[in-house]
Formats: sequence, C-alpha cells, structure tokens
Amino acid sequence: MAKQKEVNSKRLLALTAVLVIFAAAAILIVNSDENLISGFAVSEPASENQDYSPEYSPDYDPNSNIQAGMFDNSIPNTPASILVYPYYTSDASNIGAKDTRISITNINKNEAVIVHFFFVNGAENSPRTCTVTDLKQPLTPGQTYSILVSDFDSGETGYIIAVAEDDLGCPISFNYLIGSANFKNSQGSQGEYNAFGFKSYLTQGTTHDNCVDNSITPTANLTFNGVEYEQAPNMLYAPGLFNSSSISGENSQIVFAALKGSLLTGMDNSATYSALIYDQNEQVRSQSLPVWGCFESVAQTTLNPLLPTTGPAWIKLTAANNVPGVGLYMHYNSGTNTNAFTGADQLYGVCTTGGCINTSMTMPVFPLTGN
Amino acid sequence: MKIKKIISKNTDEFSNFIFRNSGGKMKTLLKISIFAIAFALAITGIASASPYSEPASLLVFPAFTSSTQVDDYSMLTIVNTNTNNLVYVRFVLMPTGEDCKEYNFDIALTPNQITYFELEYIFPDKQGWIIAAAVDEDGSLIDFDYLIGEMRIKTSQGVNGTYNPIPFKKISSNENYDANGIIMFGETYTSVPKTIIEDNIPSTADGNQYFAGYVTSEDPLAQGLPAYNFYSFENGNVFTELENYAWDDAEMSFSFTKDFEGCAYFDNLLYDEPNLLTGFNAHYINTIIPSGRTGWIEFNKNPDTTLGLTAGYGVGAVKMLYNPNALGGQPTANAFNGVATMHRTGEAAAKIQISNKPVADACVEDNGNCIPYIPQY
Repeated sequence: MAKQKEVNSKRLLALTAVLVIFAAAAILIVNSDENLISGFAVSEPASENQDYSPEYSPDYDPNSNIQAGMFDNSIPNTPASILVYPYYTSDASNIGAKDTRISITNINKNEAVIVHFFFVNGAENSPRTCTVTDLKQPLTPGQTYSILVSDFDSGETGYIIAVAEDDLGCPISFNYLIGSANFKNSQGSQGEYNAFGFKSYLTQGTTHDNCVDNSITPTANLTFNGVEYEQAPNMLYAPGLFNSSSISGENSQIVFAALKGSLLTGMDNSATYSALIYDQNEQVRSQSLPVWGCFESVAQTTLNPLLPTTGPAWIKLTAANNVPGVGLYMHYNSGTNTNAFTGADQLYGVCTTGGCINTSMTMPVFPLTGN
Repeated sequence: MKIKKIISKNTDEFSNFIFRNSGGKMKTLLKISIFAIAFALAITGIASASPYSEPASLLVFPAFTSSTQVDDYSMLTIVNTNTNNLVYVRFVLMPTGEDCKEYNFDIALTPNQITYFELEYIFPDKQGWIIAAAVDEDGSLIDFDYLIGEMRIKTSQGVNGTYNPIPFKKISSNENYDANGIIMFGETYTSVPKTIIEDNIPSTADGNQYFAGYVTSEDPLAQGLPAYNFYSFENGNVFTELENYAWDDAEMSFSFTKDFEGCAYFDNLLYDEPNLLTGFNAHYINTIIPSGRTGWIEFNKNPDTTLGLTAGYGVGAVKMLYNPNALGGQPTANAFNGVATMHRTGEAAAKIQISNKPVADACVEDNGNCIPYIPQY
C-alpha cells in the first residue's frame, strides 16, 4: 500500500512538473518578440468604488502610438492592418450617378506606412474572372487619403483589400488603419459603410510570413488564423430585409466578397453559402444558393421572392465550403412614404460551433518604386 | 446542467484520489499547477477581437429622430438570433434637450424573432439615442449575446441612411450592478472607447453637410462636457511623387473644444464651426478641408475637471453625411450621402444606469404584433 502511494505520488509529481513547464513555456512564448500579445481583451476590472477618471483605463495618449496589440474585445470598427471594402462600383460615362469614394486614414501620429490596394474584379462573367488590379499609396503619420474609384478602376464592380506593408512590399503589422466608403449605384442604392478591419497579432512593424524582399520572397501569404491575422466567421447575418410588398417600393440587396485566393493571379471563385430566412413569426425557410464565387451581388430580383410579403425578415448565411467572406446589406426606396429609406451597412459575423474559418490570400511582394 | 454535474462529480473523485493517495502533500502542488496553468492561459488568452459586428447583449443606437414628417423619421429593427431562448429587451430612450430624462419600454423576443418599430408611433417628436439591453423578467441585466439590429434614419436636413448599432458584449456578472440596472462598460460589458474617430469627411465647400449623434456616459446621468479635437489632413499630391518618397506634409492639425450639451447630442456638426482655438481663428472648416479634399476628426474626453462635472467617456457616435448634389436629375461627381457609426480606439470604463423595474407589463406576444408600452420615469 505504501509502495502504491509512493508510485502515485511520483506520477502526480511528474504530472505537476509537466503542467508547470507548460505554463512557464506559454509565458515565455507570449513574451517573446515574435508573439507578443499584450494588453489584449478588455481593460482591467474596476472595483466597485472605481474612480471613472481618465487615469483609470490603460494609458492611451491619442497623440502617440496606440499600444501594439491592444485589441478591443469583439468590437468592430477599430483600427487594423488589413481593410476590406466589400463593394465598389463606378461608371466612367456617368460618375455623378454611379461611383464610389474610398477613404483610408493612418491614425498613427508618429509612423508612416504604405498601403497596397487590391481591386478584385467581380464582373459577372461565367465564371467570374476575379482578376486583381493594384495600387500603392504611402500614408504619412496622421494622413487621410481618398480616391474616387472612377479615377482608377472605372466601369468595374467588385471589392477592395488594403494591406499595410513596408517599403519593400512585405505585409506588416500596423494596426492603425481605418477606412470607409461612400457609394451610389445604378440600382439607385447609396450609402456609407465602414471597411472591415483585420488586425495583425504580431508585434508592431513585424513582417508577416517571414517576408524579406522581392528577391527572396516574391509573394507572401496573408494568413487569417488567429495567430497572424484575425480569423473570419463561418456565418453572416443580415438584420432587416423587407419584401417590396411589405414596404412599398423597397429594394433589398446583399453583396459578398470572398477572402481566399491570390491577389496576384485571381481570387478563389468557389464560395458557396446556404441561407435560412426567418420572418417575424419565426417561420424559417431554407434556401440553397448558387455558387457565389469571389464576389456576389444578390439583387432585388433574386432576393425579393425569398422574403415574406408582410413584416421584416433576417437571413442567416452559412459558409458551406470554408471560403469565408465579408458583405453588406443594402436597401433602396425611391418612394415618398415615411418608411422609405435608403442605406447600407455591414453584414454581422458569427463563429458558431466549429469555430471561425482559417483562410489565406497570397499577395505579390515588390517595393513601392515598382508600382 | 447535467453535463456540468457529471464533470463536477468526476473532478471530485479525481481530487479525492489524489489527496487520498499522496498523504495530502499533493494538494498544494496541485493548487500551484492549476494556478500556473490558469495564469498562463490568462496571459496567452485567446483575444476574441473581431473585425465584424457580432451579436451582443447590449446594442447602442447613437441617433434616431421621429416626427410626423415624412423626412424626419426612424425605424429600428432588432433580432433575437438565439435559436432556443426567449429574451426580454429593455429599450431606453434618451432625447436631447430634456435634462437627461430617460424613457423606456420592454418587449419580449422569442427565439429567432425579428421585430421593428417606427419610432414615431412609440416616441413621437424626439431625437436622441437608444439603448437596447437584454434583461430577465426581474429587470436585471443579463448575458445574452444574441441581439443584432439596424436603424434606418431620415432627418429634415436631408439625411437618409442606415447603420448597425454599436454592440457591447456581457463579459461578467455582478449582482450589485446587474440587479440595479447599472451598465458597467469595461467591467460587466465590453469597454467604451477612449477616442471616437470620424473619417472620410468631405469639404463643406463642396456642398457637404455632416451631422453627429453622440452618446455620453456619465455617473450619474447629468450634464457633461466632453470635448473633441479636430485634425485635418489634406490628401496632397503624394501619388505623383511616389518615386521620391515625398510624403505629403500638409497634415496640419487643429483643435478646439465643443460642448455636447448633456447626455445626448444630435446636431449639425462643424458645418460652420468657427470655434477654433486661439491661433487658428481664421481656419473655418471649409478652409481647413478645401474643396475636393477630405479630413478626419478625433473625439476625446475633455480632461478639464475644474468644471466640476462628471462627464464620462463617449459610448459611441454615428456620422450622417448629406450632399444635396448626390442625387436628383443631374447628380454631381464626388457627392454622396450616407450614415455610419464612427470608428473607435482605446478602451475606457464608463457607466450608465437604466431602469431596473421588473418586466411586468412587457408585450409577450410572439406573433410579431407587439405593442410596447411606454412608462416614463
């Protein structure tokens, strides 16, 4: 019995040692330069008698650098290293009626950055080409920059990915970019939306994918896996859609932009989603959707028959083949009734059972002078 | 619940086995190792930051307006995305110009239910902001990260747009706060920002007008005096000088303070704002952001405590852009309309207290025809 007790003690001591080593290793990994994730999540808890003075929260001087890796917990519209604008359109022959203004701002007051824009063509060919055109733009500390798409990629419709990079063309951690877009399209829809911002988990200024320069790494992978960049959700929600009978004159639209593929040779063209549509009486209908490809604009003619003729509906979209994306819901109403509205905003994102989706994109690496 | 019980039981047996067979010496070691693992996980912790708007327990709609006028109208949509559980939602409405007087009403949302309100029918002739909080039938704030929503808004100035509310997740419980209707941002809910940013501001010289709806947090709800700093950074001609790496050095900044006048702000923003600090008095907005250019603004809490006020950090804001040349028979290039919530950085604690009365008179129908009642407190 005593011997058995001794054996058990040794086993448990060994187990404890392993656990302590694991804990120590985790601490060391986190504190290494390559994997620093400091100040994540919410600020320290306040006590009941907490003084709600500016001194309470983690130090943040708006005129200096934001703490690297200081992530806002599950809150959108925060600065990031990669911005995705899910929708742009323009018509060179009628830029007054159909165009998009893209805005991007470097909120860092001390450091400059180069932004590499990739315009993904979502033209509805069969199959979609999903080809990419690019543009680089340096941003000095605090600089904002806006362009009309009609000046750069006129006559096209698709989406834009903007990547923070260094002067060699390597993607870097630079969680100081914010952006938004205004658009008006030929369907009559117009609105403003904020770009989706994907933060880098690496230390400020660190290059991704061990990128060195064009001579050694002509391409670099942008990996959205929760280690390099934030992951993407497997579900998208559209909160309020109305049939044109439910609100007279209502036109609804959903756009989708895929986050997988090559920003050099073309984006993945296989995104497939299924839809559940709920009405105000919690009645649900399942709807299979055609393959969306890299970009999809679900127009009124397709969407309207799926919506209930009375009351609102919401849609739950589930990625069927691990090609995640971002999107917008839009609505347009030229009527004169009180409930005739026009606008757009981001689709909600949710990681359900099974977690978020890891995805990646390949981007070309070349210095600014090679633009 | 059943699973939890089983795990608990097995854990107890495992612990008993350890302590029984180690003469009690293992207890301390086990505690140390568990603490070490917990500590390591806390440090390495999976930061659940998200580039997306996610469902949450608290939704903040920074701006609404309502009247009988066709061009001054709002419609709020809210969804319970939970597939199994009903939730009560307490709507708190804070109008401008009423000394922080709070109005509220409750509804019930069954699983997967969506419903909407035209604000004119439940809260006529007001403008301000709205909070929608998940509560239990006792009126306590609860963890229910399944709410999403949308606000459609038109104003008499011409604004017509849509925005998603700002989501705040429940991150812990505290009976002292939850039961008393105290929303503790940064402790029981995700934090409020230290800085709110409005980007993509076009020049007023091009016919643009911009407006803001701003939510102030205060302790207690009382008059406050947040302020904002203004930065204007011109686009410059950097694109033509790429090869020389010549940055645009026109990024001059200007700052001034502005009184947001209480708990809610809904007004024209900066259209003819002359209130710049000494030295910049000649710089009206339309000269700071010249025709064809854009700028951006930071909103920061006024650190001046000499005023004796307890203004809190801003909870969030929405920007509303209107340009009469955007539409019509001959729309103009580079003229747009739109509404969107503002960006945010940094994290701060803040507090808002709402009614904690039981949900006694809430509408509980699940047929989509809920008629909310509107008690006034």
